[in-house]
Amino acid sequence: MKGSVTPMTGRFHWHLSAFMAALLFSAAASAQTLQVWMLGPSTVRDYMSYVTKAFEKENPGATVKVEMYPNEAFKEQIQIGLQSPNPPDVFYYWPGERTDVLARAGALADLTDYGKRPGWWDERIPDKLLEGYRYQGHQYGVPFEAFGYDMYYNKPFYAAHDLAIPKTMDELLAMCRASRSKAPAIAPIALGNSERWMLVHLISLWNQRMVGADKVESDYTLQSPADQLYTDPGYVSALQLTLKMRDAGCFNSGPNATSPDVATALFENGRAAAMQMSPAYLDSLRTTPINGKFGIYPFPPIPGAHGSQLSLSATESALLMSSKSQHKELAARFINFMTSDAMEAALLKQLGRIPANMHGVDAATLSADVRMSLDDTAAANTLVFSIDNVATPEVANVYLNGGQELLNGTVTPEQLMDRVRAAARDDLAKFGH
Amino acid sequence: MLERGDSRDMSEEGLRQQLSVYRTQASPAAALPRIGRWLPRLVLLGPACAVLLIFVAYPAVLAVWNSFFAFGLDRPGRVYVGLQNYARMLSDPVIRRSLINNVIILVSSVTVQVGGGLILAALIDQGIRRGKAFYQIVIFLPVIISSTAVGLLWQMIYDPNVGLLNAVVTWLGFVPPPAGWLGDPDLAIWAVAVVSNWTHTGLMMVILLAAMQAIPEELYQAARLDRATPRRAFLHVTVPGVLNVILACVLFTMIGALKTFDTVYVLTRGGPGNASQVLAGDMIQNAFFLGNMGYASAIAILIVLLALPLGFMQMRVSRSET
Repeated sequence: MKGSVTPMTGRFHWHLSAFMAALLFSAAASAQTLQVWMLGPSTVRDYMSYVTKAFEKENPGATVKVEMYPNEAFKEQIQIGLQSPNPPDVFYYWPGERTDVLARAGALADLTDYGKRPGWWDERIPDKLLEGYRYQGHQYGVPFEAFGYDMYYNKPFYAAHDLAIPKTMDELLAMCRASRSKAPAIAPIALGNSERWMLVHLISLWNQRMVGADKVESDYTLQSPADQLYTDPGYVSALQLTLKMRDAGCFNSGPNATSPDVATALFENGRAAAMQMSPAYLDSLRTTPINGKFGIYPFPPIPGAHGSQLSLSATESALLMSSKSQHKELAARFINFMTSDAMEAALLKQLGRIPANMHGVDAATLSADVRMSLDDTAAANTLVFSIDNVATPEVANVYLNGGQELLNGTVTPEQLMDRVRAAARDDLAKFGH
Repeated sequence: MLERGDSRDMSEEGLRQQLSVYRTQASPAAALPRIGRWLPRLVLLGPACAVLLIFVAYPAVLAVWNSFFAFGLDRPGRVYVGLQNYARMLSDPVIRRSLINNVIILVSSVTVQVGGGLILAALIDQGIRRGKAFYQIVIFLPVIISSTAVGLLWQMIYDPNVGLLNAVVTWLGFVPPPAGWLGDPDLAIWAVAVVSNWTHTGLMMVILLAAMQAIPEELYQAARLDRATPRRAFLHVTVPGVLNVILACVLFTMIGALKTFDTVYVLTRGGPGNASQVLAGDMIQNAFFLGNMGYASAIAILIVLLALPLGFMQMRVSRSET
């Protein structure tokens, strides 16, 4: 009957209203859910749990879901994730060409205007660090940690075998030979190159020191004229230096078959005398036999080389936002929160990792090893990021594979650079300048 | 309805009349029971067909389509390149290396997994009197361990600094390879093949053992009465009795070898250099690390083309078994 409500239709309306309310509620709830993808071990998961709880407390109604991935899996998953209809709102990433590639593809949200808000990250993070995530004048990422790689060495071993801290690369090679003659079973430098990136960290540093920062950057980003890409003879010298280290017996047996974890364990347990490491390792070093017995020294200069000899291998990690994020404001607030003084101080306190924003850190509370590492980073005039992060994909791949082949002696430095130039031409065809 | 031996008029006119009767029966009202017959079949088959279309047919067609373009996840837009991706494969040294490695894994898998599985199954079926279940479990155990765990376990065994294998080889008085088992470009793929075979031989053994247990015991008794040695009984009773299953296992193993990826990825990531790279690994590398999604699609099609004839053969063998 018109205008009347039968019990049947009334119940229907009630069900419909409840259904609509549930839909609206779930939509509202999902509007407050941020997906964050991070890379790292379980200790990072604990830290992220601390950050998200604090963020959710400050932002009632917001939920942050963090997905953690190991290194190699993350690199693969993030490529798939960013192409999916529901990519992570915020994710971990590296500086340089890796970020540029995503920015060019339109996968990243422009964070420039957010950073300019009063009290936001532009006022807290050094511009030198923000620069790595800038593409064509736009800011696409905010670094939350940055640290340098130094040589960590076993002090009692050096003392017992009369080994001095090398002041030049020639002295480092001599130290390797001396160490091998006195203690043949102990590797002077642990190298775990089964995942291919560890040697490339070293080659990246030699490239910078042999060729110079400006030329290296213009090659890595394909800004050099096409016929001059990677033609500097310093690139070959950098690879030759790697071979000199191999021939001087610097590395452990079968570095290409040794995982980074095993290499770290060799150093921690006294089976390797030194290893290129960062403060990110400090936390785990403190629970192993090497605790309290290690010192730090920077890689020594290469006499006669063209680049800056005060350059330092470094890693920067940042938070980026997907251009498809449905919650850009909340995502920006999360990035700002994670790079706040309090959260950055907690990063150092809980994980021993060096924050990009040092304003909340009380220098008096820093441990001696962290201070030593910070001093080295401060003394460096150029931070060197690894080729696999800053060079274009084909070039990075050739260096990663070529590093292994170089150690095996199946490719010469000259042949490897021929391949690098061919790969650079491929990348140039793909991406343009 | 016509039945065998029906004596009705089968002339052309007769058939026409018969058809007109059927047409009358196929009126909308008469069609209802037929819909009733088909509806449950559609309801039951529909979801499976939908899943197949969405997750198998559509991606397959999409992969073929994508293989004619140059594009990547890391750059906007796509460029039509025709057959260039396929032409590039012909001159790509990594593809050549990967194909050789797939063949190495294929040959070693068929030899060790099927051959070894057959011998182990025969030993358990006829040769061992006590503890059959124990041996079955021990040999089958690697099958149920995740490939990542297997890879990590063997990585430690192969490790040149702390690995068990080097210690054993040195203890025996030999010199282990200086670059490490997984670091030597000539040994890496063989080291991977060993792990792959260690993992999957148990599965082949279980399949073949199940087939052997269906061979009538009387045939073995007859062979024994004829004074056949165990070796002759194996060759003339066991092998012919499970020949179809052996063929199915061979094809199954060959297809698996063409698709192999996880063991290689965990153990060597295709290294050193590309010395142990396989087709599936190269496809992943191109798709997700090098931004060559179109080229990766072409590699995927190559893998399918290589596996397809084996798949058809496997289906024929399965049909002949039933």
